[in-house]
Amino acid sequence: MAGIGFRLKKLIADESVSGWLRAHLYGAVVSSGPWLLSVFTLAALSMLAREVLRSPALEIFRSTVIYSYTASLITTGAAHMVVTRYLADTLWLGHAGALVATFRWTIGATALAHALLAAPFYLLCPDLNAADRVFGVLLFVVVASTWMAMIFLGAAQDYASVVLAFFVGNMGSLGAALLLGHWIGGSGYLAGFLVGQTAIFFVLAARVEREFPGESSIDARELLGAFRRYPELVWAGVLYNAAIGVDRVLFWASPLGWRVGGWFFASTYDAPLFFAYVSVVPSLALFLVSIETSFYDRYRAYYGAVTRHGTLRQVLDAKRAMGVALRDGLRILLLVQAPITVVGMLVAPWLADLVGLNHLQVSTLRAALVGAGLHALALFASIVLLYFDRRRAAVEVAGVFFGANALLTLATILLGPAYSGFGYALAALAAGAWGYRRIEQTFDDLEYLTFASQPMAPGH
Amino acid sequence: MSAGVAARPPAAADVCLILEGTYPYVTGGVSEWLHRLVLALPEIRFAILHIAATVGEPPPRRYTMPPNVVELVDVGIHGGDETPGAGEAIPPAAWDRMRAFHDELRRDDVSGWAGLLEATSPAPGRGPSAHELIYGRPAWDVVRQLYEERAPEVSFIDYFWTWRFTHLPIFRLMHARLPEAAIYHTVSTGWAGLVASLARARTGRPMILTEHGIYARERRMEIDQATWIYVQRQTPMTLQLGQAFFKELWTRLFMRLSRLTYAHADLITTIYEGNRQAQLRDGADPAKTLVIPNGIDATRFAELAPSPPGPGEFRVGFVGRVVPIKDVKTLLRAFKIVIEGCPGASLVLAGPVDEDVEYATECRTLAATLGLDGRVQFLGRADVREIYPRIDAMVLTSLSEGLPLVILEAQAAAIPVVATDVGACRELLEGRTREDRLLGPSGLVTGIANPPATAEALLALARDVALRQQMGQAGQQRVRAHYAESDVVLGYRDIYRRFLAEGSVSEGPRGVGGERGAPGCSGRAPADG
Repeated sequence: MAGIGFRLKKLIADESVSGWLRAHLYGAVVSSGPWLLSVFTLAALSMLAREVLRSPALEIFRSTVIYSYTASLITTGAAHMVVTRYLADTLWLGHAGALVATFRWTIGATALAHALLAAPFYLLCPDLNAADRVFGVLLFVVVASTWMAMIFLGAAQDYASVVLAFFVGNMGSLGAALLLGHWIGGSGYLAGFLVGQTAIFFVLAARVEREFPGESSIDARELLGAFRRYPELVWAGVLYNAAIGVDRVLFWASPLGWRVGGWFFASTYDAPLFFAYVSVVPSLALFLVSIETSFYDRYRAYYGAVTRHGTLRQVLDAKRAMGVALRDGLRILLLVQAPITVVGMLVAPWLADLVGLNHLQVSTLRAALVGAGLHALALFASIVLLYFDRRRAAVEVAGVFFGANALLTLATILLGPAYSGFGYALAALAAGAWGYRRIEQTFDDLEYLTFASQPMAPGH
Repeated sequence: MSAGVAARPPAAADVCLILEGTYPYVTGGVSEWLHRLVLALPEIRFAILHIAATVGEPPPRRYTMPPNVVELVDVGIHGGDETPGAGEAIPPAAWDRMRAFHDELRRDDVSGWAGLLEATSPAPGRGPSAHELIYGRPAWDVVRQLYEERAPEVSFIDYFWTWRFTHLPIFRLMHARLPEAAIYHTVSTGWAGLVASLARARTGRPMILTEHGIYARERRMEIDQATWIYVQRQTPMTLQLGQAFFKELWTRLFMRLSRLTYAHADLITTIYEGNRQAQLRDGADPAKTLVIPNGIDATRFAELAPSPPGPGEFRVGFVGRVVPIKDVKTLLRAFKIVIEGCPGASLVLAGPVDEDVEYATECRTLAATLGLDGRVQFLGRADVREIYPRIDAMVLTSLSEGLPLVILEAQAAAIPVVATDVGACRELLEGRTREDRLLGPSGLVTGIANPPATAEALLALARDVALRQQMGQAGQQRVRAHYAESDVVLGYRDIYRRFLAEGSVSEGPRGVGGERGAPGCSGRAPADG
């Protein structure tokens, strides 16, 4: 992530209002662009398909896509942070040439693993035709491979390519799905969508291959060593992605859920949660800007004071400056997120009318809006903890989020539909609070952790 | 527990030798001395605690263990990592005491150490673990406070890591298993001296220190040369602390380990008077010190039948490695002057020339340049028993020495010696005790790096056959009377027996503290580095 900081700083250095806006917009686009593009493609397809597709074919199509996205985020979440860390380490060591081999090997392993995971599901799932089963497996493989490719492009800091690939690919998905759906019905929709998503993957893969040219000098399987070195990052990734999926799964199984066909389910909770997620996109963009610019500079100054023979006083001064930058980032986040959340809650009935939610879903939407805001804070906390290499604390935050979201969501389901969404909000609050406690402790203890927690063994 | 401790099954020993980087893993003078001591006292059961620089499998042994060595324990002081675990918590007062002890150390006062040990770690495994002391918060607080009080203007990362590297050995040795024994005998101060002091303080059993070389001084010379210690760029702020702040920290550590060992030893022996004087300057109690010189088997050299010189001949011999510390170049320059006064003189150099090939080549070139070809012979490694019968005088121009065995050997063969005034040379040639001095000089002492002085002494011997004979006789008597190998062994046998008979020494070690007013090395190391 470090690289886009320089770009952002240049934009901000213009000092003009337009510079500010462009910087924040850039942040918004790079952090949320791919996700939003895919979501809007799916929404557009759902609306356009209503006239062509009969139930349950439409629901099965939608569910196949949603399930593939959600499940692959959890499975690749296990590898996401470890691979990111490994790539950062490898690039820092100047071994960029090795990354093409690492990339191919990673994609191969990802594809195989996800094919093996998806095959039993689609093979045994009732009410599906043969084409849907095959396309379902392929979509899961392609989407998972796409997440892995994005990690590599993230390491290359080529966010523009990612956004462009998703734009072109999703337009392709839209066009091909409509075309093939028109010709051969439900399975055609899925096939068309798959074509576009596959295009995204290949565009990204081509960019990776161009970004890291050269001969491989190290064994691509060294990546496996990173999984042994950073087991906490595996857990943090799995738990975080499981945490953001568990509430939806519980609602599917609740009286508010229903079976849409095969082994696919949906609930009245899905739509409010989706709109709540959209409300945090601006905050995430701001977070990216503040982390990558003022905080990152102070962060480097702190470690510079440590390693370049600074006195303890110089180290503590640098720490204080870093704390100020962190609090500033947090304040901006709150100043932006709080009004959005409040306004969102006020306009919830109007919004519900617009998108066709019932009156019970309005209260769910309000709770989920609060939850998403707190969720953004928890995410902010996790990333700051990882900056200080407090991997265990990041696992704790994800673990609290997962555990609380599972238990509290279950409780709200038992309490009745009026409480839907409160479980998620409280779980995000708990995770955020836990994260801030850990950040506070980290900061209080930072010089102790910086010096005294360094292992003796590798030497000085 | 500390990493890297491997042990044989324990068995109670009479004497536990505490050694650092030597016997049985490394060959050399001290190892030879130890091997002969253990072999010569078969009725004494020895245990050995060997301290290595790093943890892990010990290297192959260079000596076959005599059967009276009943136990060998290896401890590594650097490398590896500590087993996690905090050990026993100690009350805040004990940490305050630790801070107070460091204040006392600034005045070179080590008298609080035994009390501090009792309060923090009365036995291996008791008190905070090495892991807790290296990684824990209370220790961090102590380090930070000492930094802020004493050196807030120096690089903190270097201060912190210097603390870690200097204190990890202390913590590991504190928790190392100590062989059970009636007497603890350390053969150096430093880390081995620390272990011996721990044994003395925890068991109350007698502790003997034998120093061949003066440990703190040897370490200081190494540290002065070291390039791995951070030297701060000078700024007005750091000027008063000195550029070599971290080198001084290391030097002071070893100086204080010596003081600690001197304070806790019940007997302090060394091999010559000059060393004893150095120990006294570093705080040893004169009442506890004793010189027990190294000895040789004089008969092996006395029985050699000398071949007398031809008319006008004067044969000079040098036995030793051809290396800079022996200053062979001064010897060659001196010999050039000798030839001018005594045309029949010749010089033979016996000893390895492959340890410093460059220096040896320079010496040969110098000999050629001085026109000494044909008069100087580089023999390389040779049997000294074939050299001694064929020389009329032995010469040594070393810049530094301990107690050179070659002087003892030459004296045993009744050969007069010319040597520089370093190490034990003067006391070997002029006598150490009053009784010894009455034997008369067995050679001539000169200044270092002074070719005319060495030449003058050699010429005095060349011109006066009677003087040579007289000095040769004195030397032979001196070696027989005061440097017999059997006497050394008997000396230690007596010491061991005396302490074994006394049993544990219940009262605290005598002379603990800094009240003796020995001049010289205070805790803030002199600014010679």
